[in-house]
Amino acid sequence: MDFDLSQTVREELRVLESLDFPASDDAQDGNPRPLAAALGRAGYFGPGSRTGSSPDGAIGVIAAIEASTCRAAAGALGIEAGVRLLAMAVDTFGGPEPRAALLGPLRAGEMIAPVAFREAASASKAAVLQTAATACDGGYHVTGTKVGVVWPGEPDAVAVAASCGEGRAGLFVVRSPGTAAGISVTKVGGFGAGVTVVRVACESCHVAAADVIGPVPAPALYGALELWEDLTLLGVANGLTRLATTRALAHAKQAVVAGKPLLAHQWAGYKAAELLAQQQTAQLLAYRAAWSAASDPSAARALVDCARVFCTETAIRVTQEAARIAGADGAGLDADISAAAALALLLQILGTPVENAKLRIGDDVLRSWGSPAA
Amino acid sequence: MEFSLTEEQVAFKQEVVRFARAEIVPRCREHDLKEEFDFESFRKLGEFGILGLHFPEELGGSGADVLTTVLAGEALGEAGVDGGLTLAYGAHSFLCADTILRNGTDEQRRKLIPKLASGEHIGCMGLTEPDAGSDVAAMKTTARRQGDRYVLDGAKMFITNGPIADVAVVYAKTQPELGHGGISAFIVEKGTPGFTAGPPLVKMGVRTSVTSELVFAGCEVPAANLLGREGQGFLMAMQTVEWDRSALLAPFVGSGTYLLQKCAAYASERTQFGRPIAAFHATKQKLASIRVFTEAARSLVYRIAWCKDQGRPLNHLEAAVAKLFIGDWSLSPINDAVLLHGGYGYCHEYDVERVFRDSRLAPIGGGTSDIQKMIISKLM
Repeated sequence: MDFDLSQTVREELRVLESLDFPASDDAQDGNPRPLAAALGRAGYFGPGSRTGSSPDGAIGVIAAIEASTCRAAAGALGIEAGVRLLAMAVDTFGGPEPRAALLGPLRAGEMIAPVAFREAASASKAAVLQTAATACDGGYHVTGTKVGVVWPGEPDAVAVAASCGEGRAGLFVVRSPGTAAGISVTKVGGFGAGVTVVRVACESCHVAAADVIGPVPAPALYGALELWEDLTLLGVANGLTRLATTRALAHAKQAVVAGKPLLAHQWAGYKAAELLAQQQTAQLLAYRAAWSAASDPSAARALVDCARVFCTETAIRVTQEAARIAGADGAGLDADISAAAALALLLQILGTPVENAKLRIGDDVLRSWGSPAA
Repeated sequence: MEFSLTEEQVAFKQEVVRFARAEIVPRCREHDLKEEFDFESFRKLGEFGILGLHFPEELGGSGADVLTTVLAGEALGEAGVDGGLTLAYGAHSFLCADTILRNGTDEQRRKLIPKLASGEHIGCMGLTEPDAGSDVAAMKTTARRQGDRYVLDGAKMFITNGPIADVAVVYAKTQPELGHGGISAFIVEKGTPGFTAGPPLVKMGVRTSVTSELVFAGCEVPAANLLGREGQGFLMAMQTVEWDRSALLAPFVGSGTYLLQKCAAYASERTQFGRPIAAFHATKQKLASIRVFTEAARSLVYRIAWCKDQGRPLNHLEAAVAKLFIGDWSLSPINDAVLLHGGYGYCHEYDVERVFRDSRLAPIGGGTSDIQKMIISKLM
């Protein structure tokens, strides 16, 4: 065992901390490109350890997402969903053509392309995704509807996960989704979290063969996407928790109430302690889940689900409790906390919804220790 | 970072689980009901090597590292050993014996540690007083030097193993005017004139551990029974905190796994509305809450143990976080385990009722949750 971050990860975090985050890059203004480009130039999306393929790299990615979220909460979620997820998929499953066309721009942060994966009736059961791709005209026609897609700004493309039959599936990259034929994008809101969430409907949407990642065995692709998506959300959740804790603590140290710092008042000090305890616990569990996912993905699913539940629910609790410490500042002057609280609510329904994750954990417990008949 | 256990550690943990299930667990329910300390189980812990796991081999121990010691505690909890026995083991091995091991003279160690490692002797620690719990400096027990002896006067409260201990590490003020700096530690052996233990207290949980008051009325101990030097007692007491925040928490982590096993088995057998209750979402959600807590707690406890094995000074912030989390956040998942069992969960037969009662010590013993919050808030 070793509970210290590696030298590599510490150095990467140091570089990230020293990076100037463009002030206008919060996704609330709908333009994630300057932040994506700045991070891309810093090697944030790989190659190397940032691909998350090694256990240490996976921890590094989670830690980096947490740190980025702490700096630009909604913006970080946008670029993770809009850049890194597809970059990892292309790197893992892509053939020569999509690698040549997509990997460079994605890693440079010059291409925004979210992955449209989940469906309304199968949020946590990728095996039963309905969206289908049919070969035709030197490419594929994709038909189906995706939900809960984080939509940063005006993306260059969207990668739609679809099955091709015979147990195979792929990611079908639809370029210029705002104007392409056969695809419609509908905004569905997002708790006022500063992140646009959309429904993507495809009806015989044509995708050129060169823009297909795969086809590959469906369980491998869907399993990886599920895992990466959920791990990303762990990092974001922990970033929100850290952001809220940091802001609340700073306020509690600075604000003077009845002649002494707010933190010296027992109610505030104790509440701050609870926030920090939860933050540390969530961080450690997320690192362990990421490490397990890279070490043995097939065995890590239950632990990732546990982390998914704990980190998300912690983010929701902590952002709300932090607002109480910050008082009126938490609701208004310190907009970071209120924005983080809104975003934390959104996290519970993205990726594998928290309630679905709980059921999956329960199933895993029953498989381990229950009666097979049940 | 690297989170795997070695093959040897995994095998050892499984061996402890097997041993405990075969030799200890069948006796737990009866002793819990009777509120009796189980001397035989305690002796078996000694025979198996658990009581002296981290002691040097030349003193009857196994020379294990802290993580392995933590795994043993977790394994006992996972097997279903009651919290009373694991608490007695903790008070004996960590709060009493380890303090002698670290601070005693060669003579003190050679005389006492082998017997404590084997379980031939039972140990306890006397720190808390009726009016001095977390506020250690407020203790009133004194030790006056008289020639080649010290005379102890005062009383200690909530002392685990108090009525049955052969050896007690007792903290008393040798220079009351110095506050923390005036506290010293002494070895007091059973039968010393002026040293008596009160009757066992009736407790909510951990009922197989016996807890009592210790009274010192003109209790004379040889000066050679001083541990370390005068004034070092507070530091010694704080050293025990490292164990409070690691090995003593480990059985609670193991209990989480035990509850999962019990709940999964019950949910698979119990049928309502024509199907096993395992098929209901509400059941799975409860299982999830127990599993999530257990995994989160496990990470925290392993981290403290690992840091201790690296020889690092205790990170009080991380240690307090572990203690606070396990103390406060365990209530809801363990309550879920009781609820999952319905009426049976309220009865002794299914063990979850006992685990629930035993777990309520977690936010109290070894520094309450409020004290952990105080520590954390001061370090933030």
